[in-house]
Amino acid sequence: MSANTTMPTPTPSPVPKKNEPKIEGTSRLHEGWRSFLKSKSAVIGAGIVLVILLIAIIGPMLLTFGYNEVDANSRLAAPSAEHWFGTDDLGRDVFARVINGARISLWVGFFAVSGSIVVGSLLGLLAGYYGRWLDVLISRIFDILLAFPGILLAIAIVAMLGPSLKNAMYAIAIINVPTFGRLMRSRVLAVKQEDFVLAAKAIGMKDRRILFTHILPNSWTPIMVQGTLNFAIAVIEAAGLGFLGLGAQPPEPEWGKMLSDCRQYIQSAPWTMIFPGLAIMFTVLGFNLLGDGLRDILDPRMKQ
Amino acid sequence: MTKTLLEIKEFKMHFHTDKGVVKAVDGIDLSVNEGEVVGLVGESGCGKSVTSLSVMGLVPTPPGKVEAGSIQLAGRDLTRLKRREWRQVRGNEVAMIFQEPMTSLNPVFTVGSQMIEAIRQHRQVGKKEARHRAGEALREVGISRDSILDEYPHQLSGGMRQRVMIAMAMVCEPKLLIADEPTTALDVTIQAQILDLMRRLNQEKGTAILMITHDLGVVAEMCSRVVVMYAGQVVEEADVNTLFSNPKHPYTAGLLRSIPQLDKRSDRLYSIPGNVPNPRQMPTGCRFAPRCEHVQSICLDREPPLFHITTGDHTSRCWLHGTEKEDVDRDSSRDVVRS
Repeated sequence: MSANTTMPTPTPSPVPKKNEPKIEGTSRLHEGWRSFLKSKSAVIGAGIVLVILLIAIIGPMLLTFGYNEVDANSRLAAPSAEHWFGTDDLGRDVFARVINGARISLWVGFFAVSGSIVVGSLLGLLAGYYGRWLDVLISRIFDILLAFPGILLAIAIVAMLGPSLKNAMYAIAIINVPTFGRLMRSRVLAVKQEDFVLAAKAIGMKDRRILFTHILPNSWTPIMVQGTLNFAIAVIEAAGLGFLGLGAQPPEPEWGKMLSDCRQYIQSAPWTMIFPGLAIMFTVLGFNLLGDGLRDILDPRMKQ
Repeated sequence: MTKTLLEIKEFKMHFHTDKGVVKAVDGIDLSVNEGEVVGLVGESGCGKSVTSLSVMGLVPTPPGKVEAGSIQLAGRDLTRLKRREWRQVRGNEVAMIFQEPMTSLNPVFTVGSQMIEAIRQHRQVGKKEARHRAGEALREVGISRDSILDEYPHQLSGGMRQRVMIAMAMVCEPKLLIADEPTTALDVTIQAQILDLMRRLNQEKGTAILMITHDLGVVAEMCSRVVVMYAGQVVEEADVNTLFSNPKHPYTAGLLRSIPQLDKRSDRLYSIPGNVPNPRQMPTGCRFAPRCEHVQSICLDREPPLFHITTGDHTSRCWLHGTEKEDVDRDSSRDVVRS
């Protein structure tokens, strides 16, 4: 869901291009696609993200074992033809659990990031556009949220709401709100000085319409890049909360939870930790590469 | 024809900043009749743009604050309008075009969608009808190619964009068009075309134009009456022929002298000595006195009012053209003496 929609975005380029031959409207799409293909990290990142996405969507359907299916005869079995990634202390297939875990991690990442984007952007939009006391109020809320280390705040929030995957998701969404809020606010402060906003006011347009038709579409590219990068952070935070027992609850096959459940077997049965760990690593790597690539593509200063 | 459309009286727009009060517009009188083209001239920072933005209600408040005076548009005081009423005025009764056509259009939407939006802001019409009207408005400004509606601003040249801006401004047939240096960012041939276009719209549609510029050539070509501003005040007002042939205020004279002459050789171009005064610390007396070559003692401690010069509507804010006594006798709705 994320990879396909983020790739060929028409870039709002404020840089006027003179003497450009007349071209059709789709050309921006082509141009975006071309610069996407040129960026190695974006292509590799998108590839990894796509693979993980596919695994999350169709993987569980192809498995021979259920993620919670216990094979009491082969506990902590080493990787074999039957159990590719081995089995854990209860005799569950680690491969099946890692594959199912992809679903959980992507869901958490997706909802947490979309939640913080929606709330953060809206607050940032209001703070940047209306300014004055509203800006002071919203910015101070962001400052307060940022004053705590992210994961500590998330732990506090989950402790308040009760440990569960859903509450972990809320917590991650809340702690990431200021990131998007401040980014949006700074973009809005710049965009609202643009002449076309003044021109829109001069034809009698309402504030609300100006906000959503003129300012928002000109401000959202950095949000998109930050969103991709924060997806990786959200996956790590979800795993962290899971590891601490505050996120996913048994028997959900959440990667962080798997790590903590099997940490006493790290020497005797390392496969129980290596594979969930690798899964986290590749997911985070994929989204980071994609995010970095998108930033390079969408940054107008990088354009020749 | 001589009905007054826009009448600015004693208008003061001050900005309250941390470093003090900036008197950007400090008591100006200005009127535009229906169908008239009036030039508002002055160097950068003299308050031209703040004046025009005040007419549109687009000065951010705070820091801006209307200290005194009124702006009447067709008999209605704009300084007292509520937000909702303002939106009815903007774009509908008064429209504005800006200096930078390159940045006045939203880069992420097509020209058509922006024009349709502008039309539907003030007219209850469907999208199809709005698109049709947008096409017509573009033909009015000399763009006959309808496909331009589906193009993005970055695909157009500066001249084309300014045409689109004018089409957009004219689409609701406003009575007054404020043009804030509409040709400054364009090259000379395009400049002539845009001026032609504006003159034609003025003649055909009877739209009054307030032309804000620092280019006296544009004024000479377009305007019937000229108002010269200096440091937030009107210093001279006259019809265009009088002003160019017989400037009364030393500042106007200086401006005219600083235009290079084709038929005379000179080693150096003339420029008025000194700079515009700091708006936070206006000189006492005449604001132009520190730069004026005719400065007298009275100039340094009494601020001159606007004096009527013998004939017609020619006024000048200079002690050369009257004495204190004369000033006291005058009935004056327009002329003020500040102590």
